[in-house]
Order: sequence, then C-alpha cells, then structure tokens
Amino acid sequence: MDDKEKDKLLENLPACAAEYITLVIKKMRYRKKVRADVMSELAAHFEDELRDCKTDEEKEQKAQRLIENFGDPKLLAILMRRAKKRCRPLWRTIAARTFQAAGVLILCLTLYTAWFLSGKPRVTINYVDQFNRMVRPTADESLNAAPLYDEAAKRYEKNLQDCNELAKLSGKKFHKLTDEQKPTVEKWLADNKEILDVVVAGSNKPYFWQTFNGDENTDLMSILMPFLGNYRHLAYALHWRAQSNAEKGNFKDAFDDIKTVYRVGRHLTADKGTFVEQLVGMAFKALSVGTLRDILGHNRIDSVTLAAIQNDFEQLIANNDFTVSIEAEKLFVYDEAQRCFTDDRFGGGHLYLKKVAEFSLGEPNYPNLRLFETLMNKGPVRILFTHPNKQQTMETADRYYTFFEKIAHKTPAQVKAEGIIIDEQEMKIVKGNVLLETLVPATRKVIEIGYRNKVDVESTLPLIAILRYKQDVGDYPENLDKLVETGYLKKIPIDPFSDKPLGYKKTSDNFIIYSFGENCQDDDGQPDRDKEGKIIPFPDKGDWIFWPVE
Amino acid sequence: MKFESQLLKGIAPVVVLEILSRGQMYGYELSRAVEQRSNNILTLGKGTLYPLLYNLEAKKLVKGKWETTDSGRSRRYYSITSKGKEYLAKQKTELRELATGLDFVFGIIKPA
Repeated sequence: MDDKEKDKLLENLPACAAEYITLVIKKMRYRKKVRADVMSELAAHFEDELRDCKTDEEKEQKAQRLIENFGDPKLLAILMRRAKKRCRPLWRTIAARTFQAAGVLILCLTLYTAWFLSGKPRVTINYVDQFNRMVRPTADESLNAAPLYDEAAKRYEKNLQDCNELAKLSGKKFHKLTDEQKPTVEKWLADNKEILDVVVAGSNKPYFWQTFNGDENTDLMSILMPFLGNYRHLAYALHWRAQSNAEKGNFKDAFDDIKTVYRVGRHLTADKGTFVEQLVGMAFKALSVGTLRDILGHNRIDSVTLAAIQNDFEQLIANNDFTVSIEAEKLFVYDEAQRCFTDDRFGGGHLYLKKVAEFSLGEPNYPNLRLFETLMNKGPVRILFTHPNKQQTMETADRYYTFFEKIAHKTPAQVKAEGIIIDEQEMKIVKGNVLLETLVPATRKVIEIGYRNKVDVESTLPLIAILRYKQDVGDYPENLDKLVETGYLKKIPIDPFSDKPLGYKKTSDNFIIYSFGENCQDDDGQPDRDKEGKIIPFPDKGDWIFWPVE
Repeated sequence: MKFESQLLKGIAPVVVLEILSRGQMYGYELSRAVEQRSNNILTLGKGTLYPLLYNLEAKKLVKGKWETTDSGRSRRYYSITSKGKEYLAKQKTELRELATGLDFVFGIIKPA
C-alpha cells in the first residue's frame, strides 16, 4: 500500500483517528502486506463507529473516546504483531528464525574475527640472550676457538673469491679430484698454510662458542649461521691436505690434519648448540674418520705409527658425549610461541596470523616453512576456533621435548626393543597444533644421526687395532675379544643399533667391521648396494660397513 | 458493568466464537454484537478485540477474508471453523459446569 492509498483510506477520518492508526501501524513493525491489512481493518472500524455522527465535532469527540478504548498504541501494536506472527505459516516461521539465527551467527563471527585479528603478541623474553648464555661455558674468551675459526674462515673466503677454480672444487673429496685439479689444490694449500695453521690453533683451544647479537625484537629463527658454511670449506681444505700428505707418505702430517678436523667437529657438537651446528660437527667427525679409513685402506702404515694414531684417537674420543642435545632447539619454539600468538595476559592467546604469514611470504631471513598455506589448507574454522592457544602450545612443546629427551638417551636398539614407534608418538603429541607440526625439526632423525656418528667414530679404534694385530701377528684376529685379550684394544665398542659389541667377521683375506644399522637387525655384515653394486653408506636396510673401504 | 479483566480473559474467546457461530461478522459488527447479545453486560475492549481475533485465527479457530459490503466498502469478515466449533462446544460445557458449581457455592441451587 503506498502513501496515496493510505491517505485515501484515512481521508474520511478525523485527524486524531488517522494519526492514531498511523502510529499503531508504524509501531507494529511487521511485513507491509500485513500492516496494510490491519490498517484497513482499523480504518474500517473507525469509519463504522463514526458513521452516525452528524458533525465534525461529534466525530472528533467519539474518535477520541474510541482511541481511549483501543488503548496505548504501542501496546496494541505489540499485541497485534505477536498475534499476526502466530498466523504466519510454519515454513515462514522456520525461514524467519533461520535468518535470525544466521544473522546472529554472522554477527558473532564478525565480532570474533575482528577480535582475533586485532590482537598482538607481547614479546617479553630475549631468547637470543638465553641462547648465548646456554651455549657459553664458564671460561675466558681467550679459551674460545671461535675467533680463530672465524678469522681463518674470513681469509679463506677472500681466497675463494680470488680462486674460482678452487670454489668449484670445495667439498669434493681429494681422491675424486682429477690429475689436473690436484695441483691447483696443492698449490693453494701451500700458499695458504697460514690459514690452516690458524684453524689448527683454534682446534687446540678447550672451548668453542659463538655469540649472537640481538634483543627481544630479534627473532631467534632469523639468526643465520653463515660461519658454518665457511667452516666446512676449512674442514675440506684440511681433508685435502691430509690426503695429499698421505699420497706422499707423510702419514704423521696427514693424521695431524685428520685430528684437527675431528677436534673442530668436536667443538661444534660439544657446545650443545642448535641441531644445525651439531649436525655440521658430526659431519666433520665423520669426514675425519672417513679420511682416516681411506688412508688406512689405500696405504700400508707401520704398526708403530698405527699405535700412535690409535692412542691419539682414544684420547680424542674419550669422554665424548655423542648424545644429541635438544636444549637449544627448545628455545626456537618458545621464541616463536611468543611471536606467533597474541597475549591475553592470562597465558593464553590465539594465533597471530600476520607473523605466521611472514613464514610463507619470502621474508628475508625466515625459512619458507609454508606455514601460512598449511594453516589455510586446514581451514579458517580450524584457525579461528580450534587451534591450540599459546599456553597449550607451550605445554605441547614441553611434552614434545620431554619425550625426545628420553629418546635421545635411549639407543636405537633400546627403542626398538621397547616397541616405541617414535613417529607415531611424535604425531600424537603435536597433532592438531599446526604451528608445532610445521616448526619442530626432524628430531628423530637427528638423534639417530648422533648414534650413527658414535658408532662411525668408535669403529676406528678396533679397525686400527686389527691392522696392528695383522702386522704383528701375521693374521687377522678370529674375533674382537682377542684384541682385548692381547692388549691391542682397551674395550670393544658397543653398537648402539644392537646394544651388542660391534660386528666383526674375518674373511679369507680381509675382515668386515659393521653395525646392525638402522633396521637394528644382523644382516651378517651384508650391506645394501645400489644398482651399480656400490655400497650405500648408512642405508635404512642392510648393515653399515666401516671396513673394508671401497 | 466493568468486570475484572482476569475474569473476562478466559471468557472472551468463547463469547466471540459463540457469536461467530451464528454467522460471519467483521470487527465492528462483532463488538456491537457482544454488547447487544449480552444485554450490555459484557463489553469487549477495542484494544482486546483485534488481537483476540488474530490469535483465534492463528489457532485456526476462525478464518478471515476480505469481502465487499453492499455499500461498496471492504471489510474483513471472520467466520468460525470446524475446529472452532469443537473448541466452542467443549468450552461451553466447561463453563456450564463452572456456573452450576458457582450457583451451589452462592446458594442459588441447594444440593440434593
């Protein structure tokens, strides 16, 4: 009904009646059609009541009485609206209620989303500082090897830039260099003896630690460790020199460089820093013993020299803790928790999407963890409503690291014997927490590499002892116990992948030293081989062979 | 006579249905009929009339439709439905029993 029709309906009524009816209809606040019907009814009622009035004044007075009889317009409007609502068909009621519910839901969702997006994290703890304190021993700076390593690395890097040829070769094992490449390397080694002497001096320091600059605003994860790449160049340079000296028969110098590489590796693992540092340290130790085995495998070295290197290695390995430390890694997760969650001052707090997005937007210094895409794939409902809050995330992180602390102190053989399926347990702990699922490192693998490193390094002692025995006695021993009985070996290393003595088999003209390997099964010294028949180093099936070398 | 609103509250629907049971009416007609047929004892306030009619319509006891009167005006006529007739019959029985009970209480009828 438009205004014209309304006016037409009310035109014959006194002004007070028209006003009253208009007010009632206005207050009714319902569908137009229904209000139009009610308006027609009320107007008709007033018309009928006032039909017999002769004068306008009489009409006016009767209209006033009628208005009083109808009562308060607002109350009448409410009563009529309620009654008319009850008249509507069920489907209309359901539709109306559904729209109302949807509207309320959308409003709540909008408010919640606005609240969710408005929160900000409150970074209060300087984890860079905590990290520095954690890795630094109580020692004077003069006992720190890091400044010497860094100096050597800086000078080496400058030389690397000057020598493009050398840059291409860096990381290649010496015996894989061509006859044309070897002279280039040897010339460089001769010209840069001073740099390597600095590394040697550093390796003889009792401690190693790096100090990082940063405050609460410095994201621990953004701290880069470029020095590790440079240290790797230095380790390979020493490896080259060792192999080069061995080829010339200078075994003492070769073994000195091998021990230097080992000591550098020991520095990196001993400071119990990040997984990256520990893994690089283990790689250096592996390079050291690998180089030693290469030299022993391709050269005949006298028993006295062998005894000396065995003694040196016994001292190097003595009191080595091969257990991987996860203390420093915890700090990364704690630091990210304080940055990726808002602070509601009660310990809770929800995800701070802006920070999370930085992980996936190619921000400099951040690893591209694709965290934001992972979260989006899980669905906005998960992010907004069900993702664990800050406190829950911290608690989960604690449970995660407590679990892996226990695992780190169990050998792989123990883990297998106890039926622990690490990946399953790990997933159970972090499941549902997308942040942790993405941030936590491959802890299981790192721990396993630690034990692999242990058996790799410790296998050198019986190896050297056997070679000595062969030279002195004329044959290889029947078993490793013989070496202990005859004083060639102090004790037989235990293989952490079997919790038994290291594997040994005497063959017709040689011997095999092996570990049960990742599958913790005795494959009788049989390794896994590739398509070309070459032994695969540290495969997930077959035994790990430390001797003979190929 | 002005009765207590609570007294009339339960009766009003029955009264309206009874009057409509005798023929369809529009709102004004109905309010006059209530007064006339009750000998002016009962009056239905205008503020009560239309909400009552709409409620009865919602309960499907009456139904309304627009019709044009002889004079050419449109009025909404209300008529009782079969459900309304059933309801009316039941309510009348209860009210008669109530009236009889009150008569006994007031001593108008003496118990046997």
